[in-house]
Amino acid sequence: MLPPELSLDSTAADALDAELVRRMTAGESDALGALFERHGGKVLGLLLRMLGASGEAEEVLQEVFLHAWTRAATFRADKGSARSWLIVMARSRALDRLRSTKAARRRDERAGAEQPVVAAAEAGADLERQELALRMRRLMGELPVEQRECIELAFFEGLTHSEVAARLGAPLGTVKSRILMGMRKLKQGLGTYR
Amino acid sequence: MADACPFEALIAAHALGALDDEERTALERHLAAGCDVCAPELAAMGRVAEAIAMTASPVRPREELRSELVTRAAAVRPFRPRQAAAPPVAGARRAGRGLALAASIAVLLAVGALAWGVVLQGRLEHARQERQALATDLAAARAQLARGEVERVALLRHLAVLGASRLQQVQLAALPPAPAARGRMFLDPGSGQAVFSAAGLPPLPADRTYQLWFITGGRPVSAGTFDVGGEGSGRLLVDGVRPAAPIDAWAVTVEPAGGVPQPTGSMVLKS
Repeated sequence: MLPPELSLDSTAADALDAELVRRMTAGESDALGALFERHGGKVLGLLLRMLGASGEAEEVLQEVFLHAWTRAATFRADKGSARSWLIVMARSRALDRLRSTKAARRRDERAGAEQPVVAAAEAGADLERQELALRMRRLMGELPVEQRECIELAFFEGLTHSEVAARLGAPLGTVKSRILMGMRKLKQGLGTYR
Repeated sequence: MADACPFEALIAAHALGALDDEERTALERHLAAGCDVCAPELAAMGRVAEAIAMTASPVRPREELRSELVTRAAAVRPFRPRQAAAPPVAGARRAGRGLALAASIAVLLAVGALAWGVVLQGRLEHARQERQALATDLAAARAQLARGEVERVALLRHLAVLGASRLQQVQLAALPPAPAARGRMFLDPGSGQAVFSAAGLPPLPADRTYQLWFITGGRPVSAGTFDVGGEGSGRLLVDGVRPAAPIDAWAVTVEPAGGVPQPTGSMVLKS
């Protein structure tokens, strides 16, 4: 029997994740399964948003968790949460794919397939972080559309600000300033959170 | 707003990965030298970037992906039992024979019996195929061992909780929807681990599950879902039960399969 999905405060959730990663270093594959149950949905959601095609997103999803399995011993709980670790790995791998020569074709495919394949489900997420995700969506929604657009192109499509400028046909200085102002508003809106 | 450090304005784009190479290199060099203004800004913008990732709606992965992952993991890094070495697996011995055969054929080829070359190459290919098939068998056997190990570890963890010196025990009583039900919770406050067991619960349809909750600070917190067998009993190991406020009660409700963040269904057990 595997550990259940839990709804906990974020400190307890991070501690539980750190324990799962510790058990992975001892070769306990059920701990990997439990980590996947807790965070697979969030990672897949991000990958689908970045890569579009569900087959490739699932492939990267497995790569990320397999990498976490083989590199579990390198995880440092004092440097950040396992959730952040997974998100950073997922984004980095997705960016590698986006920057590959096939990126343009993939982005075109995504334009017609924005909807998730399966309905969203956040079971297993801790409540504080669910609230944070809602708050962040609201903050993004409140940004002027041109600032939000620049931030999303950079974050989800891996474009540099020069590439964002070229994509939008806007001056580079304008794009830099939109990103900076938007990010500062988001920082202010978020306040402090773990 | 005037920036206290000229590099500070680059941090936001850096957190998004949006800097061009030249600026990124310059900023990284600056950060490596240490800057009291940029270091906290980098941490703060890193948190913003992480929160942006959370705006992508979670999508539940297909059920098969989890089992595929665990099987692949068992093959990527063979499971290493922490106690006595496991008895040799039949598949491993067979794989060893396959390798030995391939190796001996390779040696024969090396001595250069040219007339036999074609024949030997055919046999080598056959040996390679055999070795590949045996490697597949071996991976399956390892996966099976890993599954057995999962069960063993789960049982050991149950026993570890039940053997705790300061074990708290809570009885859960039946409520009208399941009058024959009874439940018991054993909590080790030291480790935050708990074992819950229930009996007399009616089996549920496939789209429903039982979900365990604890109520703390006036709000219910999920402790996980569990199913019952034909005899109506179920068991659940709960990790990380360390709420800030005392636990006022435990309860079990009937919920949609997979569980829900807040209770919605009928309550069948309550302490």
